[in-house]
Amino acid sequence: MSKDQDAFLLELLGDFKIEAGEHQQAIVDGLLELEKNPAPANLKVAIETVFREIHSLKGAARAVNLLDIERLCMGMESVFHQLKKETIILTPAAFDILYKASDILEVMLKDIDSKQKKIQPADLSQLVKNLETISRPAATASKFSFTPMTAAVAYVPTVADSIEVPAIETVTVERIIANNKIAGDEIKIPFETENPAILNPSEEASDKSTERNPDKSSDRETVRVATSKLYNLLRQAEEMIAVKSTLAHYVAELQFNANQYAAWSRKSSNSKQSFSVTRNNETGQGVLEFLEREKDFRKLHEEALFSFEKNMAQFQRVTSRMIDDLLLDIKTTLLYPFSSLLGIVPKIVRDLSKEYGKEIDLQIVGSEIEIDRRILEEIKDPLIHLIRNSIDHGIELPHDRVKAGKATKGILKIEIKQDTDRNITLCISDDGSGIHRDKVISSAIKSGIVKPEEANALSDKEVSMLIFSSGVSTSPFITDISGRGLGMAIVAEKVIKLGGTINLDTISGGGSTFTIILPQTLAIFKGILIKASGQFFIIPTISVVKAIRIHPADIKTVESKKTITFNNEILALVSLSDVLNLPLRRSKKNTETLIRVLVISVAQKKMAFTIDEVLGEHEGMIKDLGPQLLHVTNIAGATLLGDGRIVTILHIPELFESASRSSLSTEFAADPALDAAKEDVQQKNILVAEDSITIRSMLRNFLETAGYNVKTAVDGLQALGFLQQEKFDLVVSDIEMPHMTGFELTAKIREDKNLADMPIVLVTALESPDDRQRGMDLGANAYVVKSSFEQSNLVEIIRRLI
Amino acid sequence: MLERAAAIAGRKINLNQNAGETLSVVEFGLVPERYAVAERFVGEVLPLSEITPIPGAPAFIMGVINLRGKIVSLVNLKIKFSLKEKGLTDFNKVIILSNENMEFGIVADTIVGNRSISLDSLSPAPLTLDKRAAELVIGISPDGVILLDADRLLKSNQLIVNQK
Repeated sequence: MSKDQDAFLLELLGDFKIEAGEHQQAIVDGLLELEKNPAPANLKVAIETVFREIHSLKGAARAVNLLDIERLCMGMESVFHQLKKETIILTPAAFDILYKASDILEVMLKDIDSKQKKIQPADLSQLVKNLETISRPAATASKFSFTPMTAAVAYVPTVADSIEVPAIETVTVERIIANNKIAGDEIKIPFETENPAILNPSEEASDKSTERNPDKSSDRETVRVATSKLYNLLRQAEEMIAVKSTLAHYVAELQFNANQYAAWSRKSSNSKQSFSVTRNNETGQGVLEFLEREKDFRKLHEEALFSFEKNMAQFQRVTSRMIDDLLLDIKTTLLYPFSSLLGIVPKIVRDLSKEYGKEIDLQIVGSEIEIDRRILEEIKDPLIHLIRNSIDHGIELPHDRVKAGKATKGILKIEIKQDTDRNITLCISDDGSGIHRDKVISSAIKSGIVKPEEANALSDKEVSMLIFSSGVSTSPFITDISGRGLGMAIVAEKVIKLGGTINLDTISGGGSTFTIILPQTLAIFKGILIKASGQFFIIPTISVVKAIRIHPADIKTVESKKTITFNNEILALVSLSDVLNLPLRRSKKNTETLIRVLVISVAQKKMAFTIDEVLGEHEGMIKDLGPQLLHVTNIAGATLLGDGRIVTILHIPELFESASRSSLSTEFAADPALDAAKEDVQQKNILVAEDSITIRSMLRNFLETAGYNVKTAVDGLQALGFLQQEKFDLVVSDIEMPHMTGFELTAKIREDKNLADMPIVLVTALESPDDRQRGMDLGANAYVVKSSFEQSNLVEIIRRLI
Repeated sequence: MLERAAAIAGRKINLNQNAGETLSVVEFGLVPERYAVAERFVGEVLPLSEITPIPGAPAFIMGVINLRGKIVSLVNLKIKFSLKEKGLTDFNKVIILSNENMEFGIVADTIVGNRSISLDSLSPAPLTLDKRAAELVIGISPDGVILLDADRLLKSNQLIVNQK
């Protein structure tokens, strides 16, 4: 019984938390509205609204026995009670106390589950006392009046309404979070290949307890979904029943035809037998009859087959549309208006503007636009970071603004737009001081991202993009908030992870605009399928600028690095195979004169990669590489092709890093054709152990012709000595040799830890199954008989091994 | 020498405590040796089909395969633990090992079959074995089958790849 009651109470508490969060937000919204000093009629409405919100919250808190919250609400309620009676007016100091109260309320709500309460009873009592002070008419009436606020915060009118939950009927859908405790509140983002929780459980745990747990303490995350959307989903799910029965019908039809065919086929082979038996007299007649029957039968089945094919094709079209629709609709249930995220912004802006002594006019446009809630959750921190940056470093102090000929109030505008392509654009702009080119450059030079001699050649665009590189910080632009210039790099990384792009336009003295383009939903991943060194890879479409073909002569060498010119930009050119360290495949001798190049961009940096070929675009789901491969450099995940093959998806930011690292250390030859020739043979070193001088020089000759470096030894002992001193890629050894035979050499090589995986090819004058077996047992990789070997055979075997 | 003897003796005693217990195992061949893993960690055995190599992954990762829409990594035990780097190998079978947190496949030349091994018949791993490899060997059966400790394999941090 008591167990049931406990469970009930727990459920009640869960409901309370959701409800209380909404009340608390509404209170903050109301306070912000009041602070804007509205017209008397609106003022009354606003006071009434906040009063009611506080009152409801108080009642709910009492119901679940949260007396501290009730007490605080009571304090706030009495202030609004007096406001309603117009016996007091709100002063800036009073606003501060009310905001403080609502902040503490927020903390207390998050704290419900934790034993350790953050708010000390003494603090609470002090606050309640302060609230009592401002609710006392005598104390306020004489002293205070409405004075312009230092930081008035304004919504663009349309927005205020949309913050409210739309007035459609809504139901609450419980989202049961995976019972996996570690991944408990991780929402998987396709681009997130690593699972930090698994890789470092203790760190993650402590992380959570400090900042994540409080706001997600219940693990009972809920989504509000309009019932109309749910009915729509139900209808579509019901349509799937039709798919089931249609499929059953087709299967039955197919079975019928298959049975008929089997019977006919049996009969036809029987008739053949009877023809041979009755050959003498009636054969001709029998064959004719048989052919006639066969013709009829074939016709019947041909028709059945064709109609079946047509029906199936039609059915396939219908079902794929149904599946696409269903997917789309399920995705829309996960869409959430930006207003749910932006609700916190006015408060943040208010607090920050007070903190920095700046006056800010906040404008929000388009907060009704919907986006995948997983994106919304991920974009919250970057957005707040950009807002803080604008207030801290963008917008100037009032007197500086006056000096610069601007209005004292700075404008901070957050604008959300949706284009037709299901992309969402989020612009955060201010009319502040902008970013100063020189400061960015000097910081970038200091952190080694840009060489001083390159700096002047950078376009304004490139310079402003530098702030997304980690380590770049301009002292006026990034100070105490991120300090080390990491903030912007993190913002850019997050946006890219979500499959978006970020861009900055800035006018020195005239303000900055950050433009973030995000996909509306996350689930479907689009990538370009390519081949490099004979292997398939996928590059996210959003990162691909263009696939082009270039002539080898178009490649220029700048400071020993290969570059190409693309749209008047000079881009570094690297081989994807080199960056990924792929085994080099012997390509067919350059029959093609044009080189295939993919121009890829990330955070406005562009680079060109040579590849084998582009095969097309692929749509699918991103999968991780399983629990064992938590993170492999340059790999973001994998996806399945239609035929079930796995293709790895490249991690573009890491790929760029790897590429810059390798291009710094590698000297390129000027001529790509020469490079290709070099790659072809890769100067592999082969050690040949052979006592016969004739065969030794013969082997040396044709291995060198095949493009290998060859060193020879006269017997096993000498070969072993060479192996211990020099590096070889493969050993070719005779079996019968003085001092040490090929068998002994093989055994010695396998015993040596450093040489254990050295490929060994044994060559012998005589084919002997016993010798072959012995060679294999000792660990040789191949066994070639001299009497039968043709040059190509040995070279072929070597190629396969190295 | 004495220490070695003591070590062997010590292991013998430990093993003897398991007297009478038998273990169901899956036996497989990695030319020229035969190995076995406890059946309870074997999810399934399948023929090796197309492997997708993972560039940049350590050498002991042969790549990944598609297990009914799930991606599973494959481990070449020979390379990781230099168990017995001897002989040619023609991998054609995959044994999927799993516990509640981990899953990967190990590749084998052949699958010999299911059998049970009596734990007290095991002799300890030869001292010639690499120390790290020895940790993963429970013992060797009288007919020369090397019994691997699948539990440790699955829990071993050495096998987890995280190049962050």
